Amino acid sequence: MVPIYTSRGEGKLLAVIGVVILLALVALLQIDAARKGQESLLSQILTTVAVPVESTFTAVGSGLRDGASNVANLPRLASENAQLRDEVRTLRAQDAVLREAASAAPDALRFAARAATLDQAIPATVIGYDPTNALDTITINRGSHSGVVRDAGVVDAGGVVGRVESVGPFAAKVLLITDYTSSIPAVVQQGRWWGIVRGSQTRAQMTYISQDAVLKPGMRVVTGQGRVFPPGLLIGHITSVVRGDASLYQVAKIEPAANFGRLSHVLVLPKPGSSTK
Amino acid sequence: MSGINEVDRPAHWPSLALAAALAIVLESTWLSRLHLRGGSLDLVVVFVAWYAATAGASKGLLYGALCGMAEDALAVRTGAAHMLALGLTGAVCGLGSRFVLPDSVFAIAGIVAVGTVLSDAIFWSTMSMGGFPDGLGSLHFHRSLWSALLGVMTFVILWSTSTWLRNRNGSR
Repeated sequence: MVPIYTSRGEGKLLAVIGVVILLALVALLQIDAARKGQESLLSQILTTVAVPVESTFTAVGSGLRDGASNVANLPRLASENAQLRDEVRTLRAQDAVLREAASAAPDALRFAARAATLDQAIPATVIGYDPTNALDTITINRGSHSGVVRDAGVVDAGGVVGRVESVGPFAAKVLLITDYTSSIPAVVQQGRWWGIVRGSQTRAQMTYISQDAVLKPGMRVVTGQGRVFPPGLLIGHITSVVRGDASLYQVAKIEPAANFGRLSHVLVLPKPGSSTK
Repeated sequence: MSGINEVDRPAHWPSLALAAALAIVLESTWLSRLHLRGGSLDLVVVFVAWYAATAGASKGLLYGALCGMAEDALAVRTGAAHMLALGLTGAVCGLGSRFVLPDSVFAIAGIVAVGTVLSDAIFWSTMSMGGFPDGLGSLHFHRSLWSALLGVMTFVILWSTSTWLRNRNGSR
């Protein structure tokens, strides 16, 4: 029996075909943008629209969490405050002595350039995370309008956070150092052993360290000379070392210095070489 | 049409769009901090699987693809992997619902669990084709199982709440 096609059924079929073609077109544009490492127009529009919504949700969440935490910790805060005041006084005195020493050191100019790099950093607030947690990324509320550029380094008060992966007009996405696909050149501060710090989802690990290196838990790992970070920024501390007899290199597990569980305020660094002359 | 399917009638597009938008914003803000042994709640997959189970394969595919498109736009370097993963998950969940009772909470919970694992599997397969390491899929497998458990728990809570609200409104 020959089926009878009505105009309604035909219209529905055309609508389905149209939607499929449109989705395929959007998919191709998205893939092309991802391959070029750029933000697609759709990404820019949706990210810009999402910024105020995410900011509101994050502010409400942070307010509730901080409020509850403050109430719970109230008795401890007074004594901790007094202790911290003493600590700040001591550290300020030490800082003055170290600045004097640095000014007399032969590489004082390099030190000053690094300090200037941090002075030019752009403060930003974390407003969102990757919606699916597939990749370790965060969204910050500063974009190209504030001077954020792709591949700029991002730090917080503790240490290195990650690097800017894509930039929109009012927001940027940052790939964290804990992501599997992140890798940055690093140095073990005691001994100056070089290696590459890679992400391992919740923590990081330093690979390609020479078998001759004497590594101990607690040693500081800082950034090496690279195109994203200035050298000497704290990445984290070694927690354990894997040293196979048959392997060419050692692997050190690292506890990141940045607190990724409570990431709220970060600094976007200018790219090395683009800051001061 | 009223009758036995009145309770599980597919939702309308405005409420679906609102649910997806809310789910994506929640996932990128509050829910990102909630983890169960590495797995996190994927609310969008829950909604896609739930809708597909009640509305069928073609509508599930369309809703999943649109949700995935929004996720891809807000994520980094995923291209159209979420779009493909959620679209196919919606289609499979819609097809799978043909073999079960559409108003059974256990059946849809099972579809949500399978949908979560399937979505992750398709996503990481697509990403590996795009140059990501092959091992990431298997590394994320155990996380997918925990995510599936969280998804099922959330679905049961949401389903119970919506049923209670409908019954309360119906009795007035």
